[in-house]
Amino acid sequence: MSQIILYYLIFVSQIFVISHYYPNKVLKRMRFITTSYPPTDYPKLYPHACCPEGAKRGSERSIKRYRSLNLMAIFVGAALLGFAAMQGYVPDGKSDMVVLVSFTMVQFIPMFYLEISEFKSFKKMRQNNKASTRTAGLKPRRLFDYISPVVGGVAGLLVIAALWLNMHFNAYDLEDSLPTIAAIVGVHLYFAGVVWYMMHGKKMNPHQDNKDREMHIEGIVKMATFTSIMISLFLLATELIRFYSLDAWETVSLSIYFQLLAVFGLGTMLNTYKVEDTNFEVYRADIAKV
Amino acid sequence: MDIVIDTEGDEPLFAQLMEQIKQAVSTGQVQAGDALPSIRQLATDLELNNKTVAKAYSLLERDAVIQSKGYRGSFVHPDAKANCRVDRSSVVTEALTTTINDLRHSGATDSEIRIAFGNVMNSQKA
Repeated sequence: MSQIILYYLIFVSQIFVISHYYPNKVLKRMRFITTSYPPTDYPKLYPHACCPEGAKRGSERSIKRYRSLNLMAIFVGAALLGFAAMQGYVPDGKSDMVVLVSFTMVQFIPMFYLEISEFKSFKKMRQNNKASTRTAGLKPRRLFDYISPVVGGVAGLLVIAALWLNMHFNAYDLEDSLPTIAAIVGVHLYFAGVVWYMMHGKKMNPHQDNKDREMHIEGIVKMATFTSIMISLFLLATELIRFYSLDAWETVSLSIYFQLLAVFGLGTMLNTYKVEDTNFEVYRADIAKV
Repeated sequence: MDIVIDTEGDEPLFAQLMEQIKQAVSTGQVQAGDALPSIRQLATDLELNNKTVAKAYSLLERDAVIQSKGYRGSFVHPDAKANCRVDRSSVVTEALTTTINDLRHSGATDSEIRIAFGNVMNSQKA
């Protein structure tokens, strides 16, 4: 009985953390930007708009869409929870896993929406940018300027430990371990690619202040490192759960994992790349570049 | 410290880059021994050709304002602050002015001086 209560509590917590708590922080940030930096004074911040009124309408529409997508996720989560409670569903670690993963995908839709909107905005900013002046910092960008070598080392060791445990429980049969190894290597190659692009690739936002860019890169590096640590810890926990045949706990551990991903991923990004510390003067129409 | 390049400015891009790095050294914004961004990083950030940044770096290295340490990258030279006060272009201008004045006094015409200057430069290049 206590396991069922725990299952429901963890599920409620997942709905709260991923679809309410962090989205509210993001919404607060979006509202702060649109009210403190209006399109009349900061037109470069609204690259898609034809006029200040259009920019205002566009940002209100984005806020409304983001809020609606999160409300939809909360509604889906509440409906699933209500349905399971009415049916007296007991988690078995099989069908509830599928439901949990599918629901989490729904919860992450608003984040994908924001990411796509951001990419589109930056692309438009680059197209609109006709300035002949270009700026760059006089400091080399190195990985360990953004993350402590100890944390990086812990992340690396955890990856090795998780893969070793997986191979150990599969009696060092490469065929059984290959999908996990491929997935872990694939995810880490993706992270490495993103971090490399952020550090050495083309500037996405042409107006971004160099200090803000450093802050942004630090956020991305920390997010990738903490996500890597979470993935390894989750893999370690899953291997142990399977080894001790605690299948019913697999769903709970997966939900905790998703929540920790949000806390250490999005939470770290929001804490590192603070809107209060961002230089919005670069988005003014008549900015005088020194 | 930010480098600002004006792509529509009269001064060549590599010269703007050199000037600003020297300015950063003389104002103490970068200190002797400080690491500088790689050629690739600076070229990407400023949307310049790698060769433009490489040219600026090699001229700064010639002037002993920066020093290259192989794969470790480029660093501010220990004597950079003193060396960046030396203005090579004014030294060259001064030397040429004296030479041209001497030649004019000796009776050489401007066109003779130009042709001879061009020939000497071309023969040195070859």
